[in-house]
Amino acid sequence: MPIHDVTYRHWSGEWTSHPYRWWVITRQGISLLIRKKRFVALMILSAIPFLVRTVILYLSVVVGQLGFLKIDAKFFEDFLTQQLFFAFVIAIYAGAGLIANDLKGNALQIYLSKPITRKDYVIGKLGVVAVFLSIPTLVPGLLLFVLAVAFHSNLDFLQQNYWVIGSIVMYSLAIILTYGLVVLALSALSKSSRFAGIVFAAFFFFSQIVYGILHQILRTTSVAWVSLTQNLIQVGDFFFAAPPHYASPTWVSGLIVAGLMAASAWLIHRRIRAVEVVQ
Amino acid sequence: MIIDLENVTVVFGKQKALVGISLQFAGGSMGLLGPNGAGKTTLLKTLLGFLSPTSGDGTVLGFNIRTQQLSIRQRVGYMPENDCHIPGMNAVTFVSYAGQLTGMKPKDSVQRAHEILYYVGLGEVRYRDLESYSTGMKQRIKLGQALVHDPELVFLDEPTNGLDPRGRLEMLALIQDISTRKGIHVILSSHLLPDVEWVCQDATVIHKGKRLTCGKIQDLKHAVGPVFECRIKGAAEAFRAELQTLGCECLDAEDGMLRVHLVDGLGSESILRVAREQGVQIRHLVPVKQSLEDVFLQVVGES
Amino acid sequence: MTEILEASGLSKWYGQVIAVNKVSFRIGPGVTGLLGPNGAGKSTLMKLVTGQLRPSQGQVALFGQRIWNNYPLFRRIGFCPEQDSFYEWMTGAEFVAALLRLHGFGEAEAESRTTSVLELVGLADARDKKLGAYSKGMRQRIKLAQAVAHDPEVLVLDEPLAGMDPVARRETIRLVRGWGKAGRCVIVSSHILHEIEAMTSTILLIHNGQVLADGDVHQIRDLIDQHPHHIFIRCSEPRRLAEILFRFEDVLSVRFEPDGRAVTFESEKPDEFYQRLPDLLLRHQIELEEITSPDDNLQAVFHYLVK
Repeated sequence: MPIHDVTYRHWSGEWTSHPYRWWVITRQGISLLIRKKRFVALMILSAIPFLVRTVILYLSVVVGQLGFLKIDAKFFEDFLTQQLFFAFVIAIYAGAGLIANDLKGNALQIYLSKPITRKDYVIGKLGVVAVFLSIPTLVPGLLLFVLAVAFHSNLDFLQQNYWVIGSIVMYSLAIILTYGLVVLALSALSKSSRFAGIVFAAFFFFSQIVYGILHQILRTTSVAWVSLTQNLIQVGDFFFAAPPHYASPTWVSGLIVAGLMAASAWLIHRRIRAVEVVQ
Repeated sequence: MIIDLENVTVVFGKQKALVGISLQFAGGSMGLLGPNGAGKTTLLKTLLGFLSPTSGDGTVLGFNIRTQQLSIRQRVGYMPENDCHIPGMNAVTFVSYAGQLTGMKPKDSVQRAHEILYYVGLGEVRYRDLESYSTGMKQRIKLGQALVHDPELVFLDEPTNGLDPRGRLEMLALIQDISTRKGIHVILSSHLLPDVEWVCQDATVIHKGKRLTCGKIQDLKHAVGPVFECRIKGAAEAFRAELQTLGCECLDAEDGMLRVHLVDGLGSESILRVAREQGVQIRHLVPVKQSLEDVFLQVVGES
Repeated sequence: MTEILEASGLSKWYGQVIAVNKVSFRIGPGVTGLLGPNGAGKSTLMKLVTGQLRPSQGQVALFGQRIWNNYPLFRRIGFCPEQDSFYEWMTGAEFVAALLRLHGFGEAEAESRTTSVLELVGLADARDKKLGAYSKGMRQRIKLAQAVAHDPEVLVLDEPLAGMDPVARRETIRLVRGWGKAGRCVIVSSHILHEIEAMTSTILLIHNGQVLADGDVHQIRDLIDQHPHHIFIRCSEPRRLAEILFRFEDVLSVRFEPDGRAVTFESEKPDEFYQRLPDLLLRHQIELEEITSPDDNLQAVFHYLVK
């Protein structure tokens, strides 16, 4: 045919298979957030404790200067606990708007009219916040361990502490999934990302403040389960086989953390189900 | 059969949204009409493979509406009525994202996005942020994201919402092009019946969850006896008087028109004769036919 | 005819952006269609006419009095805006009654007016439902209700039919025509031209902040001489008819329809063309089915004037 119709061509290309669909959402979420300079600055800031600890590791193991400092499981656990605050801020930044913005802009009807399931959508969104939450926790945690192994001239350290890898992974996952699911649930409940962020921050701080007050009044740490952060720390202690920081029972902390994750997941499920594709 | 529904019923709690709907659509362009709350949206959700019916079964493009819902959405495009917006995206990103969600590879989807954006008339502005778009542009981009994956069937929900007269004409021309020259089946849901009449060959009317009527628009309309609608310029009173002496009834209609009910045996030449005698200009003379709106109101009124 | 609404040299600008540029017109009783492309200045004009905005220059007067800041006059205007936002927790009846009270009606009178106006727009059954539960068509009707509840002499309706289904549309068009016939001054703005045509043939066309045309559609059409009239004739022998009409100098062009049963003529003197037509058809015994002028309507006028 000498004259081609270039206005609209039919397309017969390849399709990717369905299981990868959630990755499209995660990838898009990541690329949108990475463009924000403040967010990138925040990520860089969250790497500072990692750098400091690397220097300490180096000085302690290779140079042998810091004799008083023993590099053991606690070193890694403390690192992750330190990062809790960064994780909290990153969770708000990355997570508060994830679903709220779609609800506000009516974008869900576009998503759900495509060949993806509601589960794909939620997993895709969770993926975004999980990826960014692993940057201050899981990734540097594992890297620190690898560096520690590398700095030790023999394999003694690895033989004694190989189980710490599992602890790092588990503690990080606890942080990632708890913060991630809770902020996602709040994002799904509101059309305003600002509101979701504020409620998350309030929840975080409020629980700590209440614990602080109770601690002063009752002079005991057995009420530590009131505070979200403290619960996570207890869970961390459990994974690192360390003596618990607080007097409140570890299983209570575990239950609360698991309960928060479950409740958030259920809330997200309910909320997305309720959104109509065609109004 | 593009759409084949067999006795589909959808019940929400106590409310029966759709009651025993059977629908066959062999292809082309169909208007989906119905008063507010009639069940159109529920029907659309069922056809998109988004709602499983309480009873009854059916297929869209040969795929079962209960068991092969994702396959349906792979081949169907949906243009929503309400505005949708994802912050931080420009047109290319948005349309390409929509393509990737249907399973296109990233490079393919970007290529395709450019093509589609030119087709819907947004070529010049495709790198601009969506937030800066006017109503007309927003409508076009909704159409674009529905077409990006080259669907076999598209659902368009009030596509001319908010468009000014020129915009409406352009959108309707685009829809006509999609339907007649690009071989994509179109289902148009709209309250603007003249739009539907212009673009669609078939129509289905839904009311209170039931299908009231469906068929070719041409067939649904029937002639209304020897009645003519005419507009004249000149001595109107004398013209009417003369017609009335012949036994014909003359009634006033909208926009300065006259409805002339002719007596048996008389035809258009009688009107011409009276016009010649009275020296009156006939500026408009049309045998009255039912419009789609008339059909709709009649069918809904009867139920 | 007493002019109810008069604008003279009306202008409104926001910084550098000029929304309405030296607009002058007079509107009397009856229905007038306000048309224009998006961004033409229609919404600004409506806000100026209802006293919500202060003119930057010129003035707009209702019953001879300036509207801006003239609260007693507001009682005589009813406005149905395009935007859709309500106090969602109020019921329909509460909403209309509350606005009536704002106009200064006593409680008993507000109640009775509410009841009758809700009856008028067909929302009597839904009067005690919360506005949040209303469908789009119902929300549109409640907007209309609040615009007429206080019996204003002037009604300004911005896209009154948006979101309504065909049944409600027809009802509303009937209502609007009724109000126009009753002597109210109704200004309706819409993009759906065939609906404006169903309500009135008087239009005010705005483009780029200026008045492009003002008056009866068919008169305006007659004045657009760059575009000679098209006349479509469906008859038994279109080619013979064309042969006959070729003799006349006002006929500029002829185009035959593909189905061979109709022909479109272009004439620069429509009056003469139409005047001779009945006689020619009868004398040459050509059976006539249809005469229409495809571009003697609002869509064509709009298309020709708005470039």
